[in-house]
Formats: sequence, C-alpha cells, structure tokens
Amino acid sequence: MEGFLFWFCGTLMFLGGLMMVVQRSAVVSAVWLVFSFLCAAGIFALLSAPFLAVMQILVYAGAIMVLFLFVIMMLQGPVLDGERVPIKKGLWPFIALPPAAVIILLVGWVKGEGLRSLGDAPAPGFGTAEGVAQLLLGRYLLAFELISIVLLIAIVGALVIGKRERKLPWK
Amino acid sequence: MNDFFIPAVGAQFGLLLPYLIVAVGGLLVMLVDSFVKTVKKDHLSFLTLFILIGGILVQILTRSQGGVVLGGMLLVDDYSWFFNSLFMGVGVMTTIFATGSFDRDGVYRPEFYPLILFSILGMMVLSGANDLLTLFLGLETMSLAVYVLVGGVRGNVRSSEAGFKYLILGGFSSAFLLMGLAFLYGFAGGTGFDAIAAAMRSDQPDVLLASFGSGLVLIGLGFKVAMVPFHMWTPDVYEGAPSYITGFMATAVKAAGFAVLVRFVLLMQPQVAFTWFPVLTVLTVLTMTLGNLVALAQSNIKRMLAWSSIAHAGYLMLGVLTLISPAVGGSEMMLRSTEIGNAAGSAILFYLLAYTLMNLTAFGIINILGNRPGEDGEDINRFAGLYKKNPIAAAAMTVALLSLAGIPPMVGFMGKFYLFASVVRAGLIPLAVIGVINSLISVYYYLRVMVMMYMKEPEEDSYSGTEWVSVVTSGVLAILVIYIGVQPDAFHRLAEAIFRQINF
Repeated sequence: MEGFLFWFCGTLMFLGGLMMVVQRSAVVSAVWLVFSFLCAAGIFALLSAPFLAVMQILVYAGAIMVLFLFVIMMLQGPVLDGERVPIKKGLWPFIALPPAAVIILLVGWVKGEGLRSLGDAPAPGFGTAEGVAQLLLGRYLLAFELISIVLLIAIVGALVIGKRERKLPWK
Repeated sequence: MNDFFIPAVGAQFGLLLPYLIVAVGGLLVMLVDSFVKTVKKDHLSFLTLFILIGGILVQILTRSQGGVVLGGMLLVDDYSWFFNSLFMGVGVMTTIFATGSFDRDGVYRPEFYPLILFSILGMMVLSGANDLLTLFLGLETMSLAVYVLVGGVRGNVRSSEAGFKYLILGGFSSAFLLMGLAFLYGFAGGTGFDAIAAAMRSDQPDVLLASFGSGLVLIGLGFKVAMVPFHMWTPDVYEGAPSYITGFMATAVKAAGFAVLVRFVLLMQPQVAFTWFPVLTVLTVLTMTLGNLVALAQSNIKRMLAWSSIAHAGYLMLGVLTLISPAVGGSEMMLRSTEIGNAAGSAILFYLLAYTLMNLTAFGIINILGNRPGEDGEDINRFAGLYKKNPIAAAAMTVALLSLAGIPPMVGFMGKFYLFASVVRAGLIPLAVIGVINSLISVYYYLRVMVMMYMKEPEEDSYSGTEWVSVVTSGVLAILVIYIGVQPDAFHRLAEAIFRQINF
C-alpha cells in the first residue's frame, strides 16, 4: 500500500511539474504548481511527517500560491503567443538523451539496489508540530536563523530594486 | 531538549562571536539607517567599518579555540578562521571603495552596507560549513545579497541587466547544487559532513550515487567560481556591476567558492573525487586557456579582468586537482601523498590571499574611473597618461597588474610558484606546463594597460581623480602585494599549518 501511494503521488507530482513547465499561460502554470504541491504533501504524509504535510497544503499550496496567483493576475501575467516552432527532427536525439540517460540510470539503480529505507521507524513524536519545533529551534537553529536573514535580504532587495532614484539636491 | 541546547550555546558563544558581530551588525546598520535621515551616509560607512574591523580583531583573538558548534552545523577551525578574516578584510576595502564612489557620484546606496555585511556572513558560514544545509544556506545568503548589490544601481541599464542575468543563472546553478545535495543525502542518510565521511569510509560505498551527487554539486560550485563551461555570466556581470562590487565578487565571492570547494573535494576523497578527476582536468585546462585567450581581445578593463579572473580560477583549480590527484589520494605512498596534499592545499590558500590582494588593488583604481552610465567608462583608453595625472594610482595599478601576471617580486609570482611546484610534485607535469604557458600569455594583456598608463599622452576624457582615500587604500594594498611577495615565508607557513589541520 505504501509503495503504491508513493508511486501514485510521485508520478502525479512529476506530471504536475511537467505540465507547469509546458504551459503557455502563467496562471495555468501556477495552478499546476499547486497540484504538484498537493502531491508533495502526500509524500510528506507517507514519510510520517503529518505536520509538514499539513503545512505544505496550508502554507505553500494555500497562502503562497494564492499570493502568486494574485500577483500574476494583477500584473496581467504573460501568456506566450505566436506560432509554436517545431523542433528540428535531427535535434530530438540530443534533447532526449540527457533525460533518458538519467531515467535509465535511475531505474537501473532502483532495480539493482532496491529502495532502501534510510533508517529505522521514526521515534515517537517525529513529524508532529512539537517534534518539528524541537528540531527547528534545536539542532537546526543555525539554518533557521540564516533563513530569516535570507528573507530579510530578499525584502531589502525587492525594495531597493523597486524604489526610485534619489539624487543629492546640489548635484 | 533544553539540556542539549542552552549550555551548549553558552560554551560556544566565544566561537560564534565573529558571526554574531557581523549578523547583528548588519541589522544594526539597517536600524540606524532608518532612524538617521540624512542624505549622505557617512555614518553608515563608519559603522560598517567599525563592525568589520571589530569582527576581524575578535576573529584573530579567538584563533586558538575551535570546534563544532550549534549541533554540528558549523565548524570553527583554523581554516574558517583564515577565510573569515579574509572576507572581513575584503569587506573593509570594499566599503572604503564604495563610499568613495558614492561621494563622487552623489548617489548613495544605503542598502549597500547591510547587504555587504550579510553577504560576508553568508561567506563565513560557507567557509565553516559542516552540514549540507549550512553549505546551501551560506551560499544563498552570500549570493542573494550579491545579486541585489550587482543589480541595484537605479537608472543604470547595464547594472540591471547584469543583476538579472546573475540572478537567473545563479538560481539555475543553485538548482543543480540542490539536486546534488539531495543525492548526497540519499547516499549518506544524513546531511552532516561527518555522516557523509562515514558513508565514504564504509565497506561498500555507493560510488555511483555519490559521484552523481558530487558531480552536480561541482557544477553548482563551478558556477560560483566561474569555471569553464559555467563561466558565461562572468564577463557581463563583472562589466555591468559597479566596480566596487566587481572587486568584491572577484575576490571574496571567488575565495568563498574555493573555500567550500576544497572542503568538499576533501570530503569526497578518495574514490568519488577520483571519478571526477579526468573531467576536472579537461575543464581546468579549458578554464585557464579560454580565460587568457579571450582576455587578449578585450578593450574594456572590467571585461578583461573578468576573463582574467576565469583564468585565475583555472590556476586555482590546478591546486584542487593536485589535491585529488592519484598520487595524493592513492593508498600507496601515503606519507608522501599527504605531504603533497598539504603543499597543494596551502598553495591554494596562499594563492587566494595573493589573488585577493592584487585584484582588490586593481579594482580600487578602476573604481575611481567611475561608472558612467550609458558610456564605455572603463575602456582601457581612459588609463592613457594616468602616470602624469596621478602617479600613486598608476604605481598601485602597475604593482597589481605585474602581480596578476605573476612577475617577481610581487605576491602573484610566489602564489603561482607554490601552486605550480605542488602540481609538479604530484607528477602532473603537463598541467604545470600548460599553466606556465598560460601565465606567459597573460603578460601581454596586463602589459597593454601599463603601456597606456606610462607611454601615452593623457586624453581629454581620461581619468583625473582626486579620491585620495581610495587611492591611498589601493596604495597600501599594493605595498602589501610587494611585501608578502618578498617575505612570503611567514604567510606560507601559516597556510601550511592551517591546511594540515583539515587534511586527513
């Protein structure tokens, strides 16, 4: 059952990602991304991390993507127009080769090694809100603080690039 | 959980102090900027210099201590001590150059000060990374701040283009890096470097998985240090960014890239590093040769130095190759091998120090030329007759260029000497020969600028600067370039002692 759910969510997530990339309208792309996020939530739930799964849906699929959609719609998000230019036939092998190689390697590896479990069953309390909080403010404190600085830089950057120029009055 | 955490931080406070100074300093600068409403931003400049110099002093005083802090996320050792001091030193110089540039143009960028501090914080975390998470976050903290610094000059199309290009390509390379880190996590079952090292030493490490992951990580890091074929962004971004930021990128960002690259390849020893040895050999030769050949054809000094920085990344990659070469990583002759590894590693550290000093000197002088929006402000012709207009600037530039070309008695020569010597000792003689030929090629384009400065008459629009603070700072750096070039022993011994600590 677990195996089935993993492949189910994984395949759908992959397809969602693919559909997101090939869409011509930014809004539709964003909706496909939401779909992909929902599948990722399923995988988190399978990894016995229910809190992460819920947060994935609430925060990413919910809040963040809604914000994205608002921004895209307010800015009249781009829809690519014009003729679709077909790729020259001779180029196809070169385009298809790298992904095909990766897929073949991956399948071969899964067949050869099997999907190992990376450890024993998680300890009680793993993946709950409390467990996540303890990790976040304990072992991963540095990462947590650094991310807040990264976000601060992003805010400053957005303000700086969006702001108008200010010159000295006497220049 | 409390007993794990709180006493631990208490004991680690001293080790974390330089990091805290820079991080809290960045926040403080932002706060001060929002409360003190003047158009000139001299107070921010002084505050930033104060924070960075304080950080350097604390860092130097705490050298003797070391250890793993914050639950294994960060490693404080002599290696990170060396790089942290280097980054903060570059930060001091960049702040001086930037402030001079703001005063000249009358356009103040208050965001520069906190962002440069945060960027340095990212580099410091990067050089001490002991966990894949810290590695990635340090890299992103550094890069995001630099993206904004590159692209944030308002009303300058070249700067915006450069920032955008760097952001997009940087995000692309981060995706490779992240994918590689995910594979390494799958390989080791943990994100800590010790978990990865343990997995490497286990009976049957999954070499395929680890090689694939580390290859992707090498792509991501190769982008940051501008290794061919991941160098395409370098000329455009170096040209479009304001000169003081270009100097920062060419020195601190590159040094940070190599700091983590060296730690990373040591971690991947011996098998996995060796799988990439042939590929890296080809890329190193390409990096050196392409960088130097294209630099020959440039007429814009910043583009020229961008290509030359690609070439210098190639020289540094020679050192990295020596670190993972069969003679070093092999099981036979272990004693001799470690010795060569130490020679190569300390040569990399020494070369990074040398490269930082000489490149900062050059960019300090270029910075005074000014970024004239819409014009080709950095054409080599603008150096015409610099000797007559400002002999100190011309002398500093000359020292920097001679050093970049690797001519004794400048520090660049000693750097190349140690580097090529270690390459020869590892038995990679063809590579050393290619390196020497390349540095001969590079003499031509560095000399061209010198000919401009001394043998041409000044033209109407050629530079005549009066930014004495920047000129004097470059002059001091130039004196350091000569001094360390003449007296390299102390610094080389220091580099060797530092590297011996992490090479096992």
